[in-house]
Amino acid sequence: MTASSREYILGKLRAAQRPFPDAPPRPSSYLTVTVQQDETPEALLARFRTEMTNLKGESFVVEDDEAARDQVMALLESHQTRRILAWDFAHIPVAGLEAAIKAAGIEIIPPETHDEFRAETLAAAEGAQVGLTGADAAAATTGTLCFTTGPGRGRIPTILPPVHLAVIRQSQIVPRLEAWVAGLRAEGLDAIRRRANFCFITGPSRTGDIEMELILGVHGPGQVQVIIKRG
Amino acid sequence: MDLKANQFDHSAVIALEDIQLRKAVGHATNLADSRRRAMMAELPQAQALRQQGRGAKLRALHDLPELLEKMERSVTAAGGHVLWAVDAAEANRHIIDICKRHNLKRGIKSKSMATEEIAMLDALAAEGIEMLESDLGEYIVQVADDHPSHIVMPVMHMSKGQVRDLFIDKLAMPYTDDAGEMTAFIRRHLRQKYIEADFGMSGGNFMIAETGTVVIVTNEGNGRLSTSIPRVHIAVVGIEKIVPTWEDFATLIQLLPRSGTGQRLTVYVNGFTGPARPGEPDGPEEFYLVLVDNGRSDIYAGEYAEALACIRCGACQNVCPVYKQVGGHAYGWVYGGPIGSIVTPLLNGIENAAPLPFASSLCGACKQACPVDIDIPDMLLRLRHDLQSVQDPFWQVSMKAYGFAFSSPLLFELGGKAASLASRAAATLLGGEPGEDLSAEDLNLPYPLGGWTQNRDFPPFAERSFHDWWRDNREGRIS
Ligand code: SF4
Repeated sequence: MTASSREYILGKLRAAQRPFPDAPPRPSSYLTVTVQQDETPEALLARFRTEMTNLKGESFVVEDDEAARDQVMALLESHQTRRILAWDFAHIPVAGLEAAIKAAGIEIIPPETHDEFRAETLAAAEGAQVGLTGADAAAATTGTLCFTTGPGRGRIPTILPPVHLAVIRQSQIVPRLEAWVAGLRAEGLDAIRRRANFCFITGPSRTGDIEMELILGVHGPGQVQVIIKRG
Repeated sequence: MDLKANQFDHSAVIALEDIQLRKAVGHATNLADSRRRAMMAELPQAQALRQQGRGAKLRALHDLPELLEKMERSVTAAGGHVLWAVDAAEANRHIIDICKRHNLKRGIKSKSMATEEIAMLDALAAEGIEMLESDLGEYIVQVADDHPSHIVMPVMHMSKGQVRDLFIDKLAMPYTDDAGEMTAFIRRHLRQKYIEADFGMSGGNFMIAETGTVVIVTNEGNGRLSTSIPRVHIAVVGIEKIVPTWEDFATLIQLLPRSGTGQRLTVYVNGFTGPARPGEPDGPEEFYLVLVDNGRSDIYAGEYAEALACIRCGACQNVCPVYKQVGGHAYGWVYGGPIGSIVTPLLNGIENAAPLPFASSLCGACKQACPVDIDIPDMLLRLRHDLQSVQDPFWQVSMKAYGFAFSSPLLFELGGKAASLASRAAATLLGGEPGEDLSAEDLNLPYPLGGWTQNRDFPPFAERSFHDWWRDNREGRIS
């Protein structure tokens, strides 16, 4: 009896004397959690890279499209990649990347799991060595990649394969999470309302469940490599 | 999970004599706490941030009914379904109904204290629905047919050797002493399960009312796999997990891992706003949110509403001198440690968890560690008073005696840095006579106990052994 349970719970809450009438009002400006004084692009890039390294992720800075393409291809080769699970290339900021990957004989699987080929797609996806994506933004002070879903931008390339390669532009690095949220707020949180999923990814998958010993790559990727294109 | 909180004193004694358990719990809590300290120390405005986080939770509680309605509207607008559960049985019924409606037989889930609280695994099993835990720690718990002993580190009570033996015994894992190889074995073992699962389940660390977003945090990525691949996602969340705005969330989502695991951010902070939208290539086609009351509205209406501000980081457990000695199982229910000693009696009836408010030395470390500054010691103290005024006259008399008994050795010893019981147990192991008067220096134990004693202060034995005291005072009085 969901309807009545709903009324019952809400009724009880409403009938109660309200707790915390003296709770502080919503701050007109919130304190940010992390500290980063210098917010110039170079400082943010440096901070992001430091955090990535501390998280046991890797980052590569490249000057232009061509260098980005070469870097991605070199990394794919280093993982002996035969198959990747990838976002639509329109959302990965490297010109000519799709052609280069195809030319290398690497199979590209889009993460489409809603059609009648779901079982085949998932079986193939499971065999992919690398997940290749862009990102919505990166937060410098925590070494975080920010994602929202949308057409061509699925979730599983970020989580299923053992390696996650993400390409971003340097201009996508914001100082901290609060800045990303402020960007959403400026657009009325529309991006969140219209999309099913957001995700912050901060370094490779890890666990400390067995005697607090740090182990990477438990269920998600054990390697996260971020290629940052200047500009 | 069966409630055994009234057996706390008995369970605590058993735990105290379990050297392995104490070693594991001591190691894990010390490490987690030092990481928390480091993470908070790097924030110049740490205290102000705690108050900012606290303010967010208190505002949320003040406006709880309105925010829940807003959450419901937002989730529904996003194409999801919201179900309300007064108690555990109703929550499980909702979940089973969803399974029947979509013909779901095999599920995979990420860690959730709420599903632990409603004993969902048993309820699903009774309907023939398979449900696999995917968090490594929770999976170990499931394979061992055990219960989590800590809010964020479910198997902190186990040693690597115990995990290894369990995997060899139950899963035919090839012998290894390497935690990395054990983890890799489980990764392979669970891989196919994500793909085969009909539905994924999660709890929720936060619900952001203004957009209808349920947020979970995982480090392993199991939560993201369980909620990205299967066609149906069911999130089971306590009604108190709500926050009004994204800015409030942005503060709390950073305080949680700093306090809990000593990270700046949990690896995967994953938020769900309804099912996959048209054009999105993956993600669930159906999204259900089960809002669980199960006693929370009673807490809300009472004197202890502050307990609902808890964000379940586990920091209070890691600093609690009692928890550090006995681990989580002794508390006899889902939530152990300081916050458990409040929530367990409040959710189950104080008479069913009478020892817990006394399982504290009121040293205040929990309040100090709490990222939202919950006044745990004050609530424990008030619960002690409440116990004395429980209506039933018979109960009243016995509880007075009980309260009195608890002002005596056991809790005092537990609460200080004492561990005199442990020193006794250790000395007995070393061939000494129980009750023999050894000094602290005598107790600098050789390997393998040495590492354990090095960092701990070992006072001389209590003059009277606990067992004597127990026999004389307590045995048989409270079941
Ligand atoms: S009471 Fe505070 S310290 Fe304890 S688990 Fe809750 S939020 Fe963390």
